[in-house]
Amino acid sequence: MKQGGNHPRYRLDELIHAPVRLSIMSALAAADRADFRFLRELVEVSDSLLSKHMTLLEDAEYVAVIKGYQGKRPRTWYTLTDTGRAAYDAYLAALHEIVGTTANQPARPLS
Amino acid sequence: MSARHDSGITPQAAAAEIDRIAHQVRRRARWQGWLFLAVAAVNFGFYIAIGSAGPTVARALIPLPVLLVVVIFLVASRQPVVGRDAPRINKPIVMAGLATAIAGLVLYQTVMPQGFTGWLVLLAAFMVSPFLAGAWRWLRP
Repeated sequence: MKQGGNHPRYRLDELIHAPVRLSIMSALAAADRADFRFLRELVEVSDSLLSKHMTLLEDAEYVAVIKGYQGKRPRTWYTLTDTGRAAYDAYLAALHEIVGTTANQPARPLS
Repeated sequence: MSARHDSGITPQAAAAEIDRIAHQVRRRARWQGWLFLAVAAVNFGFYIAIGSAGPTVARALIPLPVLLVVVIFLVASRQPVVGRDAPRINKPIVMAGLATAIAGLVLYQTVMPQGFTGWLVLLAAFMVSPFLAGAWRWLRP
C-alpha cells in the first residue's frame, strides 16, 4: 500500500489521531490549562494510562506541565504548547477536509 | 502499518469527539462567568453601602475588597480548568473594573450628591459594568 499521497488522511498527525490523545488534545485546545484529575475524568481513563499518553505528548513538546500546590496537595496542570496548538490546528484542518469530502459516505476507519 | 491507519477512529467519530470534549470543557470553564457575576453583585452592594453610609461605617467597609480578592483567589485556584480565552479576556475586564472604580470614586467625591440617591445606584452600576460584561462573555450560550 502506498504510504504517502495527496489525500488529507496522510496529513493526520499520528500522535493526535488516537482516541485517548485526541480527547486530551481537544480538551487542552479548548482550555488555557486543565488539571490531571479533570482530564482523567473527562477522557475516562486510569491514572496510569493518562500519564502514559501525557508523557508521549510531552515528549513531542505538544503539551507542557505546570506543577503547583493546592494547599499542601500537589497539583499538576497541563497546557498546550505553541507547537501542540499548531499541530492540533493542522490536524483539525485535515480532519475537516476529510469530513467534508466524506460527509455523504458511511463512516469507516481510515484504512 | 502506521497509527494513522490502525487507530480505528473514523474522521466522523473524531470530529464528534472533538465537539463533545470542547463542549464539556467550555461548560466547566463557565465558572469564570459566575465569578464575575458574583464580583459584580458584591461590588455593587459595596459601592451602594459605602456611598450611603457615614464616614465611620464607610471606613469599616474598606477591608471588604481585600477580602473579596482573597476569596476570588481561593475559588479560582480550586477550579480544574481555565478557559482558553481567559488570558485574553480576564485581564482587560479586571483592568476596566479598576478604572471604572477609580473614575466612579472621583465622580462621587467631586460632582455627585452625597448619600443614597438614584445617581449613586447608576454610578454603582457603571462601576461594576466591566464585571457584568465579563460574566456575559463567559456565560453566553
